[in-house]
Amino acid sequence: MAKPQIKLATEDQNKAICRAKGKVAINGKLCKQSTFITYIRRGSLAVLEARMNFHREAQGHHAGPSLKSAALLSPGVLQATRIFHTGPPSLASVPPLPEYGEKVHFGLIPEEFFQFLYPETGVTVTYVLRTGLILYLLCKEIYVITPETFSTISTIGLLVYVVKKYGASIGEFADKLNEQKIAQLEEAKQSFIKQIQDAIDLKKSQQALVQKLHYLFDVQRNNIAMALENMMRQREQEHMIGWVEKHEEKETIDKCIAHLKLLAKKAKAQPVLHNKTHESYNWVHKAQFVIPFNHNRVLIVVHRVMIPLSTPLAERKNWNASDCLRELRKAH
Amino acid sequence: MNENLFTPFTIPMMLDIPITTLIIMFPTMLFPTPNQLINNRMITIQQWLTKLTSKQLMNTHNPKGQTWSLMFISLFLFITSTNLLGMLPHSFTPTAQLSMNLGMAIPLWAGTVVMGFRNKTKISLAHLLPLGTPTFLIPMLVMIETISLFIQPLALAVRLTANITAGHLLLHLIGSATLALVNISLFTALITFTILTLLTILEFAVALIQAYVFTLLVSLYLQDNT
Repeated sequence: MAKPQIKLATEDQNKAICRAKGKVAINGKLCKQSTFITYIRRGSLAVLEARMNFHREAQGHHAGPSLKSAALLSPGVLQATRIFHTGPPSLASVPPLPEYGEKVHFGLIPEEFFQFLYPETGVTVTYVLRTGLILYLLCKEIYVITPETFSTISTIGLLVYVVKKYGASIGEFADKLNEQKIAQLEEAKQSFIKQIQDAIDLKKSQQALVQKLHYLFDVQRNNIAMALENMMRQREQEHMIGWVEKHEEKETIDKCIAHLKLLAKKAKAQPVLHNKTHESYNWVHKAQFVIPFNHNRVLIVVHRVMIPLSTPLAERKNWNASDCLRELRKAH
Repeated sequence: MNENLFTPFTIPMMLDIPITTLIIMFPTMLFPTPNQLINNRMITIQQWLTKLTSKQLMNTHNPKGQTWSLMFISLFLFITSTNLLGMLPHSFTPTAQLSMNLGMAIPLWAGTVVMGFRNKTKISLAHLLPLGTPTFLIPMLVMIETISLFIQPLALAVRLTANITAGHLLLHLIGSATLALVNISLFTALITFTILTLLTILEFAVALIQAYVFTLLVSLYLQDNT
């Protein structure tokens, strides 16, 4: 038989064919359909298809987007014959393998078989093939009806029923198991990340604290100063009491008391200065009230008030009462 | 096709070569090795079932007994898969052959007994006499216990063989009854077919249970002797 003349399709048709059938690269460039067909020697189905295409083209049919070209043979063939692609890989993308297989008849025969037969037989191939095959096997006693047939029917029927009814749920169960595994690992990863993040934050806050440490030192300094001041106050009070006891004369005491009362009244009107450190003030004690304490003693309750004085602390250690009074009078 | 009732139990030949070994090795193809952490659905379900079974089977043993876990799990999986595959039409079940079951039972049982006698001689010998027997019965009871000990592997093998063979035979017989009744009275044939379906369900259950029983008993013998 003479080889049929290949009617080369136009450029657009060629492009359409290539797109429909999937571009293939041979030696790095997109090929025409004829080269594609000559290149693939193996794969009987593919060759059959190609030859049929030849035939149809020779008869003038368009190999456009038909059922066959939309069939999933082509990408599968392309992927399967990848080992024959000796040239560098194509720059254009090869169509990907389909994720799920097509419909199968009886769990054995894929849909592509019927699609493949479609041009020759049409739509009735499934039914005619099925019926004819079964009848043939039974009539010619190729498949004999034995007692085992009935157990076959019951077993296979049971299996099909179980698979159809519970298949999807078992699949979901398996997916759930896998998801649980992944979730566990994900959780472990997240907790680890969180731990590290917390450690980072802690370190950062510690760094920030170190920056603000000088406030702490200031406060401590103030505390110590106040403690010292308390000590000084104690000593001054004792000193004053001692002095007052030493010079126990009623007139002087009365004079002192009167003076102190006056000063106490004045002190209440005085505003208290804040936010100055120890060195800038000098503490002075002012009598708030006087309580008679035994018939020859008085208890002077002094109120500590901050007023700026000229004499620093160090020189005030050896003051006596007249010095106190002098200083107080100077301040007012 | 089947000349007599026992044709399903003959050794399958291909070109006059027995292919039993190939048939025994076939179920291994149905348990693929898990390659990744997250596998496909089949492997995931198999892993889950294996974990379930192993926990159930091995948590009563002490650490010394738990070294036998791999043995027990593979035994269980083998018996289950061969029994279930034998349910398919026109297939051959290796576990229906007494020779094979004896070959499984005797070494396992002997292993447990020898281990017990080597490591804990006194206790193993003491097992031969139940507690609280009257003195004059002791010699007879020792003999009886020895006999029962030696019967154990036989019982294991024969139990499995008988169950599987009987199940297959029953299916075959009720199938032939249905076949005979189809020509006589269709309604009775339908009833018989219903019985056949129920029996098939039972057979599937038996296939699983027998495997479990086999493994469980061997593990019990192990517990006694560990």
